[in-house]
Amino acid sequence: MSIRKSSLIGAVFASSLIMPMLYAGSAQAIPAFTRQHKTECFTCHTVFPELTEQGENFKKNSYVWLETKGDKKEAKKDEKKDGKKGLNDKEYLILSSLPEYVPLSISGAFNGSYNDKRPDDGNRFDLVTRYVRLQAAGSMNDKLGFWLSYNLYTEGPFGGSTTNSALNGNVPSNNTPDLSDAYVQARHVFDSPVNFKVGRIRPSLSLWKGTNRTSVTEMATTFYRVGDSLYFTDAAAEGVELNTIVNGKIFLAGGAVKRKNQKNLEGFGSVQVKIGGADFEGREAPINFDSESIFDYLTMTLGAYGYAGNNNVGQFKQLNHYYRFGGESDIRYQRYRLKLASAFGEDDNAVVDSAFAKGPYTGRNSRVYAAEGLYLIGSQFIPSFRFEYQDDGATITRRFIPTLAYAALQNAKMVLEYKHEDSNTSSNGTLNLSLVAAF
Amino acid sequence: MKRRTLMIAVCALFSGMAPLAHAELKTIGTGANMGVDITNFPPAMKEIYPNFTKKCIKCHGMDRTFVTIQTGMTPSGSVFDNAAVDAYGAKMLRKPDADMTKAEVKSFVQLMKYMLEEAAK
Repeated sequence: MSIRKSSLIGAVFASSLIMPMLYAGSAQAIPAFTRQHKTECFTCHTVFPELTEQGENFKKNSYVWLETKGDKKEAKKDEKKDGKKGLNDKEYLILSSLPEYVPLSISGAFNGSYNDKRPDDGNRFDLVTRYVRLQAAGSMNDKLGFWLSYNLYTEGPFGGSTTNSALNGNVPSNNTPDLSDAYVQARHVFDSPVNFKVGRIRPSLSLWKGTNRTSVTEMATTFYRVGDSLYFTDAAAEGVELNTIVNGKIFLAGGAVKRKNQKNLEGFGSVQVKIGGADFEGREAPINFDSESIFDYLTMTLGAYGYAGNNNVGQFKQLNHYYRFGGESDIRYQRYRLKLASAFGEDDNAVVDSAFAKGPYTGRNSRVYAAEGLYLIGSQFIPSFRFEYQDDGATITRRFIPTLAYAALQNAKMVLEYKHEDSNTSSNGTLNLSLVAAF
Repeated sequence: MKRRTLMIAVCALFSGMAPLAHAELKTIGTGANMGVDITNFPPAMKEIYPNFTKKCIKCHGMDRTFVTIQTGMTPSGSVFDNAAVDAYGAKMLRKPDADMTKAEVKSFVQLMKYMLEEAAK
């Protein structure tokens, strides 16, 4: 081994230990919920912001705290013991629909990375304060949920996009303070089972919100982009969504999104089905304590979604009509978790030739697959491995991503990740270390 | 004489009311290491108790458990009754890092229901 090569390996190793990196993900753990509901972060997260079943259900139910209850639908309530119904010293808050605590949180990430094949532009090794973010979320009298996430500072790629430009106003810009998400969700509108969400939303498509992961690198199925189009499935946009939970086991969502500078609305829909474990409303499937069955521990969530829209991808504002659809499954068994995802799409004008106002149009078909296995060690460590196959119609890329996430505290974590990327044009590896804290 | 009789009557009245004013589940200590007095527990429940406290405290203080049982309310404001005990049992069994076997959860559910009953007296 040459001295140069050993120095390189040493540098990579040292880098991984000392710093943070480039493609840091964004944490969406909300310590405000801990204060509000008097429960620890681990109730809703493993290594944050990856969600537990309880966390998933909390999110689906407009951030209304769900009682842990049995399979019987007629959960009986003791009115005298229910502080929300009886007289109590917080009545003025209830009548005003105000949360007891100002539900604010701040989170931040500091990242370091080393990419061995990056052009030697002085940034092969990089340190970056990835983001500092203000978050507010909660519910008002269990009738109205809200979520607000505002980037006080960001640096580096945001949301999987590497070249954010002003062409698509619905993708958060880079390096400036910016609104990430801001919406309210009216719960059980007019006593119906339907919830109505409006604002700057991330449409309920994937089983996993983009931040619901332990890794630094986003899941390709919801973050991949095609050609010059800035669209990706987990992008936030102004829109409305109707969603509902049917019989506790089925989650349905559908809605419309309005992009800047375009006449046509975009539409989306999704369905998710829960098998085993707690249902979407927190009802635990009963357990027979006198016999063993793997089904007592097995929880599966299956999902499918579709999105159809159009955007302007070039200076001549040619429309790119596109669609995406995908299927996913999330399987949990004791300490094991397996995520499988697929996404498919078509863009009819994904690449713009700036020399031609009317074309030529370049259509692209895309398909992406991802599989990720995780294992929880103790309460603080999650090693995982993900494989991704991405064909965006021009380039085929394979990614191999081993990760080790460690929650030093429930609200502070460190993630070490190596991402090896092979495509028909290049091959490279990036070592990432991310430090994230929220309070 | 009259005054003495009155005092005795008042003492007798208060001593008789005392058990009504407090739940039977007597706690010992405060905070994470809170316990309950198991002197009068049936032997089967006494046997479960040490393992119960050992497992619960892995993730949270024992005050959360015992205050919840005493008040019938969880810290987040949900009702904690027999049905909730069953549901929490299932939830703890499925919780990946709870490290509880099915037999343990079964015994913990029995103990919690017993304590709930005692607390309601």
